Amino acid sequence: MRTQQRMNRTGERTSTGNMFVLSGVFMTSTGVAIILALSFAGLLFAFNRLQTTADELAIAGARKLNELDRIGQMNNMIARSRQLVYASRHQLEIAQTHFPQVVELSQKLVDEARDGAHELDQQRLHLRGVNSSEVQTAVMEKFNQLKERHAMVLPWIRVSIPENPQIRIGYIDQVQSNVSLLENLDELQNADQAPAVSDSQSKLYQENINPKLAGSDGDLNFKLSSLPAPVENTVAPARATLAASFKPVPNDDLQSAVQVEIVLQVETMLGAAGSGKFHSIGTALATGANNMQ
Amino acid sequence: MNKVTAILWGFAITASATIIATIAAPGLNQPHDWTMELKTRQMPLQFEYQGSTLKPVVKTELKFYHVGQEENKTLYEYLWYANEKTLGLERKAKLTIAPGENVAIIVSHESESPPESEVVAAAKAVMNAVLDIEVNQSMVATIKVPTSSFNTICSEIEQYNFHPGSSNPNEEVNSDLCLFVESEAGEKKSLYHYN
Amino acid sequence: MFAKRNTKFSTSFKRSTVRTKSSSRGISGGTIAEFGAAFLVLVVFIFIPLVNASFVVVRYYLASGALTEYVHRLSLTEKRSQAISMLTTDTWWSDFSANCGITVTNKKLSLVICGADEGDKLTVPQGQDVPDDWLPGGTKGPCIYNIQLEVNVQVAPVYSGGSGLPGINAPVPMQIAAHSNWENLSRNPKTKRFFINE
Repeated sequence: MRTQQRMNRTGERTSTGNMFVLSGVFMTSTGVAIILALSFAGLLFAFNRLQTTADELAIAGARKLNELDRIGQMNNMIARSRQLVYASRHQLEIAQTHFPQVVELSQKLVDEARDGAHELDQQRLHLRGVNSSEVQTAVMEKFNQLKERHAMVLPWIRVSIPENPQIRIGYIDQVQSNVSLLENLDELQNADQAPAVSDSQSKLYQENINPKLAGSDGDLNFKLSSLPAPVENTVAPARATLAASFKPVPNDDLQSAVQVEIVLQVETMLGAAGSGKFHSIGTALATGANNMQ
Repeated sequence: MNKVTAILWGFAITASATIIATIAAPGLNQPHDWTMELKTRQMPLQFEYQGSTLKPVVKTELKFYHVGQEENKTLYEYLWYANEKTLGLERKAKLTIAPGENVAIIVSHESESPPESEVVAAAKAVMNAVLDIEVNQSMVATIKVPTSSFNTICSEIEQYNFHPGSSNPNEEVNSDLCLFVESEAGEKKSLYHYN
Repeated sequence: MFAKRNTKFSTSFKRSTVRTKSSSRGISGGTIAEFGAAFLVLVVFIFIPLVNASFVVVRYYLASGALTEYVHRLSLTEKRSQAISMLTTDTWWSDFSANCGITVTNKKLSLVICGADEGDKLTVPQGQDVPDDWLPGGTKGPCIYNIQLEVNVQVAPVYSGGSGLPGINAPVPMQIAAHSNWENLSRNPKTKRFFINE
């Protein structure tokens, strides 16, 4: 095959040529394109890391909620305060009918029981505030420890430090209260077996209810909050859970779950500049209650 | 009057005095059919959060049994107290003491030197027990308390409109409810009337 | 009178391997530019397949990352049965993979438990209960519980026909797996059973 060669005036082949350069450029651009593709694919792992961070923040906050079983103890004591008020009122009614000589003593005991119920309700509200404050602090402390690990700067892509997280405190759907149905006060026990008050299978009081007493004590609050109950000797550990199961608490009930939303800014400088945000939500449920002491 | 008659009269007077003294100063030997044990203990690590007013918590356990059947105690209820406030009750069984029977309440503390809050809690639990027994148509024969807690419990009882009885055994008392409180060794005794 | 130099190259001309000038190229050998067929072969059979095959790597990377996120969601469910049903109801990962040229088949969910002792490891397949010894509080504990999802995938290069060389013009079959820590180690107050066995 005859091949035309480029010749100079003296008949020698020219030294100019660019195939090596072309091959080099082609291979380099192919390599760069692969690296670019991999780095964009790596954004998926950046999202995974962000999700892990969101979960860690949510668990850090959730652990604070029921620290030293304070919500579990509050729930249990509120239920027992309700029993006390009911029993004292019942004794007063019997005394008024049959034992007038001890009516005053009985009335004093009813007053003490009511005072105790008031005190518990006030402390429940105070605990709610303490919970909110401590969760915020715990989440932000953890966030400040973890935020630096997300930043990534490449010539063609930039991942910033996440923005300050949005924190929500609520409860997890279908998690009942940790209080077992109380017995031996017949009328009260019968009333408590209504489905709106307790679950017939688990024998636990429902979550986020206020089972007020009838009659003169109807002004008292006995709010029971959602919290995983102990089963035999097993206490539920704090855990991450699906975001869809999180709900805000109604009214001023105590909270038992934390949801954290983090936003991560991502910018590309390849060709036309563009930017977007990764949103990641972490949700966690507080440690469950211990058995009543 | 001859000598024999005089001796007989002397004996009668002495015996009467003894009987009256015994009635006026009831004690450990007060007959009772049932015993109700009331035991208090401190509950650490309860309501541990910033600004808590619900600690320290005292838990009181009440059990009752028929005299002579100490091995057959029935857990009656638990009561919780904090800062001299009554917090909660958990009834564990019905009070199966027959009407008309006498009950002795025996108070004890888990620790040898309980703080005042625990002793006050014991006194309040005693009042609850007294009312339950009275409404059950039974009677409180005696309340036996630790010696170190005697004064505190007595002063708490007085907060419930119980008044110390007169030392004069012949003084007429118009009260439907009397409480005899004594220390465990029997050296301190008080009688209270409810008005 | 100057003699005309014969500038035409003829086959009978004896080739010289000696460079006539230091900067000139030797007249022996052939360059790619001079040899179009070889250039064509280089581009068509080396560079393009290289790019084509590199997309297999990128797609594998994407699929693996998405699978990690998916199995993380499975590990957050309340019960293991819910995780199994989510394999069929929640298809975002399969859909995402299909958009990336990856076909997913044969999803297998299992629970991998590592006990306290070094050699203690148990794999509980889908549908089987965790034995009592391996449950939280059991004799083998404290255990670590990982939910593991193994899938068979066909990762296609950019240009893919029905059949041919895997990675060149046909999908590459492979098995990828991801795992995540199972979160719910508590018990159901209604049934008293561990949620991990429900």
